[in-house]
Amino acid sequence: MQLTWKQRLNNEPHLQSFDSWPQIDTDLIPVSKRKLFLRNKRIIAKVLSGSTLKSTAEEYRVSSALITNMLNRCLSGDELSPPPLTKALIPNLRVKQGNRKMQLSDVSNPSGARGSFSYLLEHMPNIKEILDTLIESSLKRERSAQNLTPKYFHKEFLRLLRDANWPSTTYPFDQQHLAYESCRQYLKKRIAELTMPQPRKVREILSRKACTVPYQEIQIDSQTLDVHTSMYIEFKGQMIPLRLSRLTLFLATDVATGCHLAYELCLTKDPTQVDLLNLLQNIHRKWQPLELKTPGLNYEPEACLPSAISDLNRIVSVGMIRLDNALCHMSHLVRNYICDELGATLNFGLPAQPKGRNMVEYAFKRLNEHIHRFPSTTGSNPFDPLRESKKNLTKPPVLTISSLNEILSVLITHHNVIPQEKLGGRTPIDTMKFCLDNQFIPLSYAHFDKRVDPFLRRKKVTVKWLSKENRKPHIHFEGFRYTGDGLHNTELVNCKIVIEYDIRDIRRISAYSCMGDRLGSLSAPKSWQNYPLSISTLRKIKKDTKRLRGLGADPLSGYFEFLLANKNTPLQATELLRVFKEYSSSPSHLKLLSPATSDTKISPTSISLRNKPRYSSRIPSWSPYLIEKNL
Amino acid sequence: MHMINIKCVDTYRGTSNTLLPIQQVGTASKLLRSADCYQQRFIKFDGVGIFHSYAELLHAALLESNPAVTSFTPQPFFLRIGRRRYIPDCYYVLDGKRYVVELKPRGEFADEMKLPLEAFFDYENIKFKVISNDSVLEHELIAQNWLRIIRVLINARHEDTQVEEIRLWESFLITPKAYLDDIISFSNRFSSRSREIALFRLIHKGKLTINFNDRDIGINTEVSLCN
Repeated sequence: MQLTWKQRLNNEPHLQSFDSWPQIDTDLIPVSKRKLFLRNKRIIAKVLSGSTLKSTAEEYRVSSALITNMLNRCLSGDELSPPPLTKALIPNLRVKQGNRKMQLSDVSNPSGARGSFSYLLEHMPNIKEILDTLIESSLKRERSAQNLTPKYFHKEFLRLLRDANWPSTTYPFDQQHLAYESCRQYLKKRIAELTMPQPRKVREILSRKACTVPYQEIQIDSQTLDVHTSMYIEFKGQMIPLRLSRLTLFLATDVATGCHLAYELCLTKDPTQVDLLNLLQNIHRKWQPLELKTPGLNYEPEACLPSAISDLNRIVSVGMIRLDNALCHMSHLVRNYICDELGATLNFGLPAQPKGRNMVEYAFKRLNEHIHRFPSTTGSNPFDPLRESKKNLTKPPVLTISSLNEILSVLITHHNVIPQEKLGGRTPIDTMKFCLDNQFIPLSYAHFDKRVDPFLRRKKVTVKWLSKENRKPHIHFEGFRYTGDGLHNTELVNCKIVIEYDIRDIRRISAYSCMGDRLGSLSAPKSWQNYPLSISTLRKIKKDTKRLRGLGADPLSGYFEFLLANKNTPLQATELLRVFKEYSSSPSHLKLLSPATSDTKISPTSISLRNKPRYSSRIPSWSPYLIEKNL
Repeated sequence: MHMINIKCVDTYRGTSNTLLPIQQVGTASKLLRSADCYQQRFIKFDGVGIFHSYAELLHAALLESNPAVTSFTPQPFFLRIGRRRYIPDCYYVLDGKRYVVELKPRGEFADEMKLPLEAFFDYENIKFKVISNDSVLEHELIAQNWLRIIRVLINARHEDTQVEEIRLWESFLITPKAYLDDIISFSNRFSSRSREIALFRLIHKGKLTINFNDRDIGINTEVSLCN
């Protein structure tokens, strides 16, 4: 229903007050129209305040009809649609879409063309549908379509009218350009409407609210570092520099505070579940600053990982852990540790959607900005001009692995003490402390009693005793015979017992009866007792041994010799380093020589070896030229 | 009347005659990698539950928060509707009645699936329902708070707090309303460790009610005696 201005004021009395009308900034109106606009405003305000039309018209020296017209422009219109109000006071502004009410223009009775084209589209049967079909088929580039231009679209329009026996004296045939401009505008408008991308129906699959409680959402990801490193080893009195392949960094970031919780540098390009479990353990393990030996490297004041703040941080319950769907993340060992031991939710996210873990991905971006400063960087891509030059590629990089470890430690902890805008200018560590003091953080008290070791595993095995061979009772595990005093019991023969072992060292394992009684420890054969032996190394040895016959009596030494012989390959050199780290807790004639070695533990026996004059006198003090000297 | 051509299939032994799920139907590793799956241990479901969407995880947390729900199983049955395979999202027992639930983005489920399923489950005295994800996400805050409580209880599953529970229950009989701050010592969490776990166990059992007031669980969260 159409309302007049008086009816509108009756229906909506709040419009009587001109102050309730929307305000239009006068600066935005062209100067030429500004004077009339202000006059119109004053007139309407006066009328609405209660003055009669006549007195107002006399005061402002305008006709009463003009005021009525203005009021109608502002207030009249459809009952259900809002009135134009203040904007209708701008002179010459079209506030309503003009609908033609009078008859179309004719040669005998010319009445202008305003609204005629819309009128035709509305009242002529099918013409709008046909024109729209023409445009759509043209846009879809259909085989039967034509490539439309305004000119030919206009001709099609005229053809349709003629086909419908439209009088040749009526609009558009009485116009000079036969409604060409209306056709052009319509075509342009329809093309814009049809080609504009439609808003996608977003299916909500993620949380609607932002995480504000620390440790309730942790994002974890790994990335191959864009840098090559080197290391030095001494073997039989000779120092050998080795180029290492690229290493992998695992990083855990808290979403609520943006704090880096833990990191793990993996000595491989393809990390395994063990590396991820190490990282998960590091979240709750007390962080200790490294003893920095690289020149010019220092920790920022108060820079640390949250686990160093308080005991509370080491038993806090983790909410949700977001990972990507890398193969090592899908391991049952990882799932059991996260869901059973941590009691957390595990989420792998959607494939190829890294923005689901935007915090940790952005952390890697920031880290890479620093990593790309080293000359041995591989850059972001194969065409990156920052890539290590061919000249430098022939020599091991100056950056050693222990220096890289220290650099990462400094960079990652440094991030935690940088004020951030999204945290209101506070640092991530300060925010973490504030939340821990003022929020309810769920705790995992079981972690306080006993640290859950994800590397411990249990298995049921059968006790064997071959009486004819006059051997000790034993069990079979990973292809070895394990023996121990606890098995010297006839009741256990051919019975099941439970063994508990650490996957990182299986030289000695613990045995229990099925009733839970401890049976002592069992040992692997003597030839495997020299070095700590992980299951992954053992399997690799077995695989290589099968391929390469004729290894020495000590399988580990043979494997080590093989790796050393192939040291020039960076991948094998990295594997050598991994094995070295595994062996380094035992007496060995090998040791890692690096100026900034702090992460490598050296046993008392190896220290005594190091103190021998013939070795120590050959170790030079650290210098970047050390590599060149040895080449 | 719709022709019912539905068969419950046990994934390991062929056709099954029972509709009593013990464990959830295994999720293919391909689905684990391709869908937005969530894995979480719960109390009313034995084992690590695999949920194929965020809404399913929240729905399970809401079931856990309802004391009238005795147990639930995500992805309970493997059914064949004609030649199509179908696994419902959740099965739960509420006040002794059995329900099977399907969660859909806008609660839209094709009639050619829905009507036969309703008839099939009705014959087995199970009510089949289709819930929209939006209706679950509306209670996201409550579900998230409950997930925090569940995680605490999961981590403390080996702790015995029976004595502390009775003591706490008696104190609520005298003063039926308290704030979390009154029960848990926030300055020294270790000292009130047993009380904290006992409190959450009583809430989970339905002896006490917790009112989150549209906020994250915190020191001002109100706990009161259940009517």
